[in-house]
Amino acid sequence: MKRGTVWKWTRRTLWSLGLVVIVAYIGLCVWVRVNETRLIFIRNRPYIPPSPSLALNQQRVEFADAEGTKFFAWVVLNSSEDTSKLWVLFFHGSEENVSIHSNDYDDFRSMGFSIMAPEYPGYLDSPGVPGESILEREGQAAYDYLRRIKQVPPRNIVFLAIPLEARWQLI
Amino acid sequence: MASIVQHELPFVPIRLLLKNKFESDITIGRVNMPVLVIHSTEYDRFHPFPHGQRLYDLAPFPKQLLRIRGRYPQDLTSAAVNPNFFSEITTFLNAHTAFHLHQPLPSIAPVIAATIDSNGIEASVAQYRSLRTGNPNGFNFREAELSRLGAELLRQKKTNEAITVLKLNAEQYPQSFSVFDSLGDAYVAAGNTAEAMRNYQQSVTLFPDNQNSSRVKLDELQRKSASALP
Repeated sequence: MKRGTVWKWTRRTLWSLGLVVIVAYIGLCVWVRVNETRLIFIRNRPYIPPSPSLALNQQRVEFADAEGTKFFAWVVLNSSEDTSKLWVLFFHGSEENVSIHSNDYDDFRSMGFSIMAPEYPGYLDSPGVPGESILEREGQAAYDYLRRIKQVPPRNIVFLAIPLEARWQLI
Repeated sequence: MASIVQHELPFVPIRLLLKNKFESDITIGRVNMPVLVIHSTEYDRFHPFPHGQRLYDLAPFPKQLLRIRGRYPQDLTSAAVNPNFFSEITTFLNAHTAFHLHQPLPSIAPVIAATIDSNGIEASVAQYRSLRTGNPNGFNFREAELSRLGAELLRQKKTNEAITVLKLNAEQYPQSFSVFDSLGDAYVAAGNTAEAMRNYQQSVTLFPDNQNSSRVKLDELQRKSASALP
């Protein structure tokens, strides 16, 4: 075989391989973009009712953001009559749902807190699709609910979040 | 979020692609209140400790980093794994706020775990019964305490001890579907299919909802048992 022919086929092979790599790379980018919500917000955890022995007596409360989008949250009240005292605003992780943390709510209740735990859009029976923007709005709306409806002073609200990377933040 | 995905896919322009970036490493600097970052130091591919450390480094003062053990999410608040989890939170809040929080009751789980290690499972059961009767307000005896201890024992491959602890829990909380679900899991780990099925069935009886995971596990064991028949 002539030298020129070998070089021609080598070049074609290299171009073909390069093309495959580029197509695979673009495919990976498209796949990440298309599956982003499904990969971040894992919504297949079932509802787990609180153990009756906890006597959690959680209430389901509805609240809305400035745009009128409705959300719901579990509220667990401390035995104290004055519900404006101390509150934990409890945000669960992206692989969980609001029912997973009953024992933690009980622990915070025993420390003296009431708990408000918002459920995210698309989780359990909450309608909608989760996303960073709507979660920020929900967080703000939950805070506003405690401030306006429950009359809780800002200094009495603890934010607890189990973020997507499990970086527990207590603020 | 973006930094975690970037770590997994280093050649993909993640920050350009993701709509949900969740850049808490940027927003943490704007927080104007005390910050407690809690993170496990054990290896976890998707929740590496350096990311928690970085978040802590970027947070404004006052701040504290609480290093804990275990895997996300099941171990973090488990007293069997992190016995001081809630007392550390209480101490932090009392130090940096005007709160006067009660220290939570210590869990019974670490006490029982220590007795299992030192004197064996029978002694630990006797100790539990004795403390539950003689000092009911001295420890937290919730069903979750022994459930989590059972899970930890299973993780340590101490299957017989796990079964005994979870049986004790089922005896204490006979109305809890999740206790029987955990006991079923322990019997599966021990290879005792008949007892596993019996406990999953009890769990389904107590909580017949389709979302009860015992239902799926029971169906699977029944299928396997049926296919094993000649």
